[in-house]
Amino acid sequence: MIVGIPAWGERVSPVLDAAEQLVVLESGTEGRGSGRVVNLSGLSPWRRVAAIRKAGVEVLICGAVTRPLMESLSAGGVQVVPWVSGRMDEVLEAFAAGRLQDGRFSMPGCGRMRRRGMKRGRGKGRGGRGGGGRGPGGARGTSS
Amino acid sequence: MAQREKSEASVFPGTRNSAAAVLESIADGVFTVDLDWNVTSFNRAAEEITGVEKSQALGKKCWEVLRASVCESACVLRKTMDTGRPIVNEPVYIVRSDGRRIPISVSTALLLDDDGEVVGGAETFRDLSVEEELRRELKRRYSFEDMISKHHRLLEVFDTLPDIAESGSTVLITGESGTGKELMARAIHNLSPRSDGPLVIVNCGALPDTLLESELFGHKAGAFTDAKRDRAGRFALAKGGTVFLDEIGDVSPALQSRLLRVLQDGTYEPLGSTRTERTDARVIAATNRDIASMVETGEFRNDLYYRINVITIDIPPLRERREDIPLLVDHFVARFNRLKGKDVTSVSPDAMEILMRHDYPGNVRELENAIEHAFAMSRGRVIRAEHLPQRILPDDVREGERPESFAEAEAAFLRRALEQHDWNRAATARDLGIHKTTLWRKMKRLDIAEPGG
Repeated sequence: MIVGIPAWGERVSPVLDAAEQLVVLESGTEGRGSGRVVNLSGLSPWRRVAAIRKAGVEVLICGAVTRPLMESLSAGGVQVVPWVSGRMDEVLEAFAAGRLQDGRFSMPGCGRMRRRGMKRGRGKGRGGRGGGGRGPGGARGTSS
Repeated sequence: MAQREKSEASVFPGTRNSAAAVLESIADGVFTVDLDWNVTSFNRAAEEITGVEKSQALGKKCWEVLRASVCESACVLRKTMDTGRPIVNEPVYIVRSDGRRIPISVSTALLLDDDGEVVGGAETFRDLSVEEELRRELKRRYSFEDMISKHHRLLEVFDTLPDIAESGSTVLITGESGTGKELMARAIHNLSPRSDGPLVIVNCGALPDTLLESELFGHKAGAFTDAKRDRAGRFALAKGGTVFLDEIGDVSPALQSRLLRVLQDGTYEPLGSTRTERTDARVIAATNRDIASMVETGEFRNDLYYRINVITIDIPPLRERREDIPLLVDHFVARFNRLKGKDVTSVSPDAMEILMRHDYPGNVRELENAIEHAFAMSRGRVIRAEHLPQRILPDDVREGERPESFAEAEAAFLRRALEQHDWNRAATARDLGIHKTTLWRKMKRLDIAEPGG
């Protein structure tokens, strides 16, 4: 199985749409230096999809990804495992052992969205204007 | 000097409690990080904009929480930490946990303790979704997100679109009315090296012949009765850009020959002028008519057809790519939420089933209009069947027979499609325009198995 991971140094790149490098490797050969590196720097979403498909990636493990990009990839036959964070070697090891979904590697707030049938988050990011705010009791936990 | 800059960049040193109370109440998202980039505070607006709850964000790396386009290559907080200088209103985008791309502007500052020592950084960010949507509406500058499809033919087009755009060749876009031909033309123009130049749109079907000729090529004063002064045509206005000739199948034979000359050697004469003008504009043409048949019947010039048919993009009608309907519905709901200041969060299963079943003679435009209609009719956060326009409601929607969820509607739809192909998955996938592994995964997820299989 050909696995692709957008790489940011030794970590999984936080945003696939903006990732600059893709490491492509055969599952089971992790850590043997067999990975190929595909340059994604500056590619438009269309070219990004084309480059990932052209690299023969069957499973793409990535961080955040916009829905149109994920849908384009999965419709093109690439299985996308999104919202993953962490060190690449640990992520690959967990993937090989079937432990990638156990929560440790999930980005915060992303447990409820897997592949399809995504549910919206709370609100739509515009609420709260002029809402009166909270009293002092609501201002807890700031550590600065 | 460096110390002064640090002071300017700091956030409320020594006023922790009151500052925290203020930060919780404002509409801008605010978070702070320690020197190891771990999130140490996260206000209520930050929760709403990112879709990440404070309890989940605290202690996590900031790039895992914010997921901004610049995290990897040009982190603004890192710049501030390195230089001590604040960054103000830098436009970037983040990816929410529901896969939405949210444009934001970010500002940064150093975080100092009571002794003036740097203990981390602070970032404030503002949701610019509404502003960006309005700007897009004004400039009609559409992007990848507007061209949504999982249909195999369109995916192939999307794969090659950047190459098509860069090639500079003439393109013919075919497809029924409302499929998005103009959107495709805009995407080609925006992706091309001519994107800084104008995109000039001419609807050839909307104007009588002589007016269209003057519109395209311009005229000299006195060329005809109402021509009081010289007027530049669309080809002249499109210098360095693109001319989009919509409904080219409606152009008269006389005008076809003039267009042929423009495409052959880039020259034309304005009406009433003897001077030959040159144009460097790229031509993208579109039609909802079957031009190949028109060539056979002599209605359309053979040589012009071959000139415009260098690259052809055929956009399938929506009824042939029903799998795109939920995606498009989601896209339009998000768009109208931004444009109309509403907060519609979902479409009920029965409304979605009706939307999935309709044949859409007006294609994507009809679906968009149906969602806009539903927005006008709905008062709540859910679009229901009764909010949809009458014309798309099927006669056979009966109470008690509706599936209870979208998953059931999708399962019923796939079962019907599989039955039509005697449960041949490859043929079904081909017909639905999806990859066979996608179909297989859908069947697995929805627990669809061949009867007796």
